[in-house]
Amino acid sequence: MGSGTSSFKFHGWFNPTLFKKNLTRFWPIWAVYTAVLAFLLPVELLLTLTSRSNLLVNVGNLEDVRNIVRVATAAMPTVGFLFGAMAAIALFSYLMNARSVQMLHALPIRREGLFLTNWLSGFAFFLAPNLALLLISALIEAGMGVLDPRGLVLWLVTATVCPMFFFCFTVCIAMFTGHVLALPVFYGILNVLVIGVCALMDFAGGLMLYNYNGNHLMDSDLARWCTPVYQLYHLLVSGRYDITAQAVTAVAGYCVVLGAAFTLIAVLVYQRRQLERAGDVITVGWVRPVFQYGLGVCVGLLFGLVLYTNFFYSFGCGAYIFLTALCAVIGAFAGRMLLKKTLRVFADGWKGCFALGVVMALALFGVRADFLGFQRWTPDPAQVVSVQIHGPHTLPDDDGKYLDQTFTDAADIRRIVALHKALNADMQTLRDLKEHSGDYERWDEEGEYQIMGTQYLRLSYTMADGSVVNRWYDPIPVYQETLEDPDTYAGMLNALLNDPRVMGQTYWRYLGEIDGSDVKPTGGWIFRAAPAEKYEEDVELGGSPAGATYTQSDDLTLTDQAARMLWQAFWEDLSAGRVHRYLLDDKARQENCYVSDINISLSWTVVDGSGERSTRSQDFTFTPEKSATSVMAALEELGLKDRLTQRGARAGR
Amino acid sequence: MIQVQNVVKRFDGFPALDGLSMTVPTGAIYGLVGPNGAGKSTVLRHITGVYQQDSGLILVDGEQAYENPAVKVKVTNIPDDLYYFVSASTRDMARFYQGFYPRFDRARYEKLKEIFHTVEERRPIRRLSKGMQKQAAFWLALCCRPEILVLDEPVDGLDPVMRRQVWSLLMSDVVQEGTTVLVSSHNLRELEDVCDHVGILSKGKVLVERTLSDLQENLVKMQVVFQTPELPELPKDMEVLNVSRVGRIHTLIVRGRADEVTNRLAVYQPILMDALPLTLEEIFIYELGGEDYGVRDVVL
Repeated sequence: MGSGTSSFKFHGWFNPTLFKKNLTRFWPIWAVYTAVLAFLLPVELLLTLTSRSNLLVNVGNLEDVRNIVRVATAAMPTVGFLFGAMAAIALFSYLMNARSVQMLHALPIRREGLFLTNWLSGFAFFLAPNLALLLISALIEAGMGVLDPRGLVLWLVTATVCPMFFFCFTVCIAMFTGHVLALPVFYGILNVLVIGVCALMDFAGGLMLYNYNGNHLMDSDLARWCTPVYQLYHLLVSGRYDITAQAVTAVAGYCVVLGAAFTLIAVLVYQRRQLERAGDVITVGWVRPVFQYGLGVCVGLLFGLVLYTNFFYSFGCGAYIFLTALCAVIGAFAGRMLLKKTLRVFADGWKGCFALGVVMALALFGVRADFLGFQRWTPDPAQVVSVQIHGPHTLPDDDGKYLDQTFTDAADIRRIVALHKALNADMQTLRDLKEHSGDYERWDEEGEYQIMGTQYLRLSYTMADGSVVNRWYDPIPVYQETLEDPDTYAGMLNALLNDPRVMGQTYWRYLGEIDGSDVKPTGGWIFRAAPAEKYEEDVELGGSPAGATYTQSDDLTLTDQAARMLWQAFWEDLSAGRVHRYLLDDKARQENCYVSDINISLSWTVVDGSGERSTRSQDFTFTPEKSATSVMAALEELGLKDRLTQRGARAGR
Repeated sequence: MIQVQNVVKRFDGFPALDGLSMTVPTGAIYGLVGPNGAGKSTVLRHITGVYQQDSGLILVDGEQAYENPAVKVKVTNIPDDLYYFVSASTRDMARFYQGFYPRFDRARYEKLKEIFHTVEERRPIRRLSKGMQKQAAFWLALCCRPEILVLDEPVDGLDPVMRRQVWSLLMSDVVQEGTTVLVSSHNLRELEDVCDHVGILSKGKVLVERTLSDLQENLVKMQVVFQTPELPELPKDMEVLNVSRVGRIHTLIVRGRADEVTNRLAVYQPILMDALPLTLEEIFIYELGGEDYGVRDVVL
């Protein structure tokens, strides 16, 4: 009577009938997956290796093969993102329907058995096609004599762990929901939730705190780690052309560890799942309030931002806080509607929803009032290992215009912390300029000399505990009368910029990999063209002076010797403090700086790993200043001083 | 034997089962009746091991039903709302069940093909009519040779001939194999013909649970013509569930055995008195009348 072929011995933990049924029921998923990967790898290999040019020489190109395998490997996070989710949704969709739940759970098999059978089905969906495609690809490569076993193995590992990671992730989500439409929505949202919330919080921080700029949270390691596709691409290909074994190992580690964790959570939740929850958006009791209020927070941050930036920007931070709190309340009501499956949720849900709105408003007010001391914070110099300064943009507009340096000396760190404190001391002024959009620059009555401008400054501290703390000051108002006052931030910044050691590093930064020992000037030229065409019209060139020849109508080409003299003279002036940087285009700057720039071509020797020597070259540009006496003397000696275009040429201004 | 002891199950605070207790003897055909929302389907889902009770015990042959494959393998279930895989035919599902139920009987499957000849074996079940889907469900369930068959509104959608055929097959299994059948239905007339035990559910509890004969013996319909046109004052300890009057004939539904009630009413020297048995439907209506669930006259 009983069937000899029945698999009752497997009752409880695994059922081969269900496994086979899964393979036959959901064949379109693994078939399309196989087709996609087939086009990425074996078909592409075949087409490339049998192209006309390769056939002519009857041999494949190993580099072509590596490129194809590399592209196929790099595509796996995206392919896995799609197919991992599709497989999980298909295999566990029975949990989302009361009828299918009843049918499958009345069968004589434990939940763990159903789970394991479905999980292994998903694994088979990916592993079997991967192995088959690996074999076919290897045969194609071997047939063309360009077998790349390392690349294929790396592809196989990536092609297996990536879809399985997303499969496990989706299965885990499936255990928390009982709605088949909610599952893909949750999957999509949770994949970007952390980085999205970080971006919204960065926006809120930037809006309400003066020196909170940039994507502090969004660019954090946490945000990247919690955004699987981003993290997988980061581990796999970020900053590299080739896909290394280390990169694939890192990807495998990420996928296996987190995939195992998701699977474990899924099993534990499944064991306790109330099957009557099929059809509910959230099936686990304690997750329901998390979902409701979490949705409220996300809706608040997102739609608060959307409404504020599009319609209420002119109303300031108060409007943003109000809109965010209001949207959070609406979001919490929406969450409750989804949970209760009815629109009538006001009567029994208003307290919690409005409480969320109040909490959101208070939290944002707290941020605005800087309760955590973010704006006021300055480090203890003793705890700072290094500080990197980025900005400001100074004049003249030559290779020394950007300050971008890292300071490790204790005295320098103390000096920068003092500058930081001086900025914080004027926080209200800085904040007012940012929020009320006052003048960003002012000129004197004749419109000739700048008396006020704005700068920016980014400070990045590396602390003794390894943490990195960033503060971004933008805009910083700079007034002409405060530049020489050593007690003001403008005076401190001005002094820092004009410190010969700092300035030297600023110019030198543009020379990149040059170590300074082997650099030699090899000619150059003087730009006679000024930024404004007006100046050019007033310039009339005379005869060719010593050490220079005319190239175009307004350039003078320097000889090697002239370039050497000017290069040496510039560094003499810089070391002696006779070269200046200016925060404003004020009278001092205009009277001291020429319009013309001097460009010196530098060359140096590079020795590569094999001991081979080669020559590199780069241009270096500086603006001659009247205070730079050595440069002036060199130009005088070369007969070029008169050829510099002076600011005085701006007749009529 | 199925024992359900004090089972409580709440859905979002609503007590779907509120201390429900019932016993289904081995080899019995147990009819579970009750108004809509009484908890019939819910208790069946507990017995099939799908739902987990909040408290109480559900034992099948002395073992917990929930998450117990050893129990589930004995039980086959036909729910009120059938589910089969998309595009799966009866034949496919037979293969599927064969992989789960060790007693699945392939030979019986072939034999039953003659009885369920109108069901196209290779056609996807979802494309069959409702009645045919039900036939397919019975076909598959009977092939599993279950020790316990749990049926929720089983013959709903079947034509009269097929109903009789299906009940005949079930009765045959009960007699020959000792199969226990637990059936929930609103078709009381039909249950009356096949059930030997009946449980009446209301608001998540079993109100009455007896053999059908006990149930019928415990309530009696008395048609009485008293000496006076009006109904005399009856003894206070006589439990009268319903009184109606047509002309001088009073119809009383009284709890108790027919002979006892007849003797007690005889003291009024009625002109005419007759004791009639109640149908299951009448029992259901009058029992639930005490639970404030009865037919109301509403003027629209």
